[in-house]
Amino acid sequence: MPFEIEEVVETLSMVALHHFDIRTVTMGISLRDCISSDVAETERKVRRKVTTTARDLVATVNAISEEFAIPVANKRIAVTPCALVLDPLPPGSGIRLAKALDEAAASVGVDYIAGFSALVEQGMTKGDREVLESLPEVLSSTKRLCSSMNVATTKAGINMDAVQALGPTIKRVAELTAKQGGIGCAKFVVFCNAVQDNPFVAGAFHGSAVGETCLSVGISGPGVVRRVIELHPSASFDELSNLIRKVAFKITRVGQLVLDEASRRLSLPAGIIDLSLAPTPAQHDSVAEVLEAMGLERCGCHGTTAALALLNESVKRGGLMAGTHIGGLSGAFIPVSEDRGMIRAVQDGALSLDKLEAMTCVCSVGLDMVCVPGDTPPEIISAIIADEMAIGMVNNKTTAVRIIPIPGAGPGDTYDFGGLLGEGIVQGTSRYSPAGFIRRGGRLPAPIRALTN
Amino acid sequence: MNQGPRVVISVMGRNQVGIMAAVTKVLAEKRVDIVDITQKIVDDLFLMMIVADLPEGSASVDMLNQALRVPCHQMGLQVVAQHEKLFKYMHRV
Repeated sequence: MPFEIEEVVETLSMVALHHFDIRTVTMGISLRDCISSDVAETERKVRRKVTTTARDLVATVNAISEEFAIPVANKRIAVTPCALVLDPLPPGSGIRLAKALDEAAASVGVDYIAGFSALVEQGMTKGDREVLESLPEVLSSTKRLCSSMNVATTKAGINMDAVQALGPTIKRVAELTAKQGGIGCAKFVVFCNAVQDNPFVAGAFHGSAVGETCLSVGISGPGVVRRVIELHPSASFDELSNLIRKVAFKITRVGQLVLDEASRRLSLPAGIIDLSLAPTPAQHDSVAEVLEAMGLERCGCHGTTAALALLNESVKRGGLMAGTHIGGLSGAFIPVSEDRGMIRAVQDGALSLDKLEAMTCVCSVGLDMVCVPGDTPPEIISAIIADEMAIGMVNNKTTAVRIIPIPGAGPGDTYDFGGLLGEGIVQGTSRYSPAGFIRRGGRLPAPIRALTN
Repeated sequence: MNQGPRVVISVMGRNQVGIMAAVTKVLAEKRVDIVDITQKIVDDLFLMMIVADLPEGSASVDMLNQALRVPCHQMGLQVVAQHEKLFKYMHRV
């Protein structure tokens, strides 16, 4: 007999009882051959490229999902940062490119298409500026399109002009999508040290060094990790780490299987597996509950950062051997609205924005799906971004901010964004102003550790 | 008989009369060829693993899962059929 009954039943329990799924299969598509100086021609080329390359993505992934009885929550597309495509085009072209991408995504049936992006840590080109200036209209008039902007790296420092501009831009996006709680902001991420092969939205894009096209997989499975911790209430940290590593290995192997199968059936190169444990708003599919299972009364209490560090490192150690190429963000995600345990922690007064910021020092991404009052001044939003960028820059890691100033809402108010985006809960910010700091402009210099050569 | 993919069917739930009959009835209807069966009872928990070959072309794993779900859920059982490759990936280094 090739398998033990315990192994088979363990797999059944993961799927049937503990919400195990693969979060996403993401197809990266280069748009560099769609660049032209005529916007109508660019639209045509982009539509054709996306709809041709991704024609069979959804059906193929659904077939794999059915054969292995493993749910794949999302099918997504990541494209070349659109600023590169917009460089030769006249002002006003951003919205046309965005709509072409959104329509192409709808026609191939993917959940999201991401890459309306610009990398601006050292300054902006015409195309970068077009991305920035068209963002409010783009995010309020498209459905599936996601956007990101990299404003900082460890090597370059922080482009504080971009950070300053993003405060009012994010506010405007929220205002234009006010009827849906400012949902446009849920489709936009600000990055420090953005990675070129991230399969997770909203921050996915197909980097210029990734090749023509490839497939990547983002895993999930916090419910499975929580369960294994709950079964061992008195395990030491050493034992806990081993337990998490073993389950992370198995989760990642399923990711590798899905990636191998998709790559073989679509005849496309396999890219990376992203080890980030992604939560969903479903009961018990929560990263916060994993931390609480370790012995914290509520996520956000003292000890939470240490618990998250243990989780993140253990998942990486287990996943590393299970996948051929590990990449993307690969760290635990802690989006507030998308994680029922995080929402409860905020409601109970256990999890503040400040504690969240501390947690972002030891895991991937950062302040994710964080909601603030609708009347938060733009300079406070810029300052929240600046702080998070500084953490990423100095610690040589990816950090990000996805922040939603919900129009008309105050601290404690909630808004149901629906689906995987979950229920946003508004958190208060400092009442003291950083305006004098933010309006200085310029670039915040890179740290000494950037000089490694 | 020409063979389709090899699957592993796992069943878990409270021990009761008729579990084996209910599952194998569906397999027979779908012309699924059983290769091996392992069954175990831990306290009152019934665990079963069936390794089987689907007939070529006619029944997909998804169709088999849909057919198994009805009688098994009526008996309060968790059941799933999955391509054998999944277990090789997950449980063998």
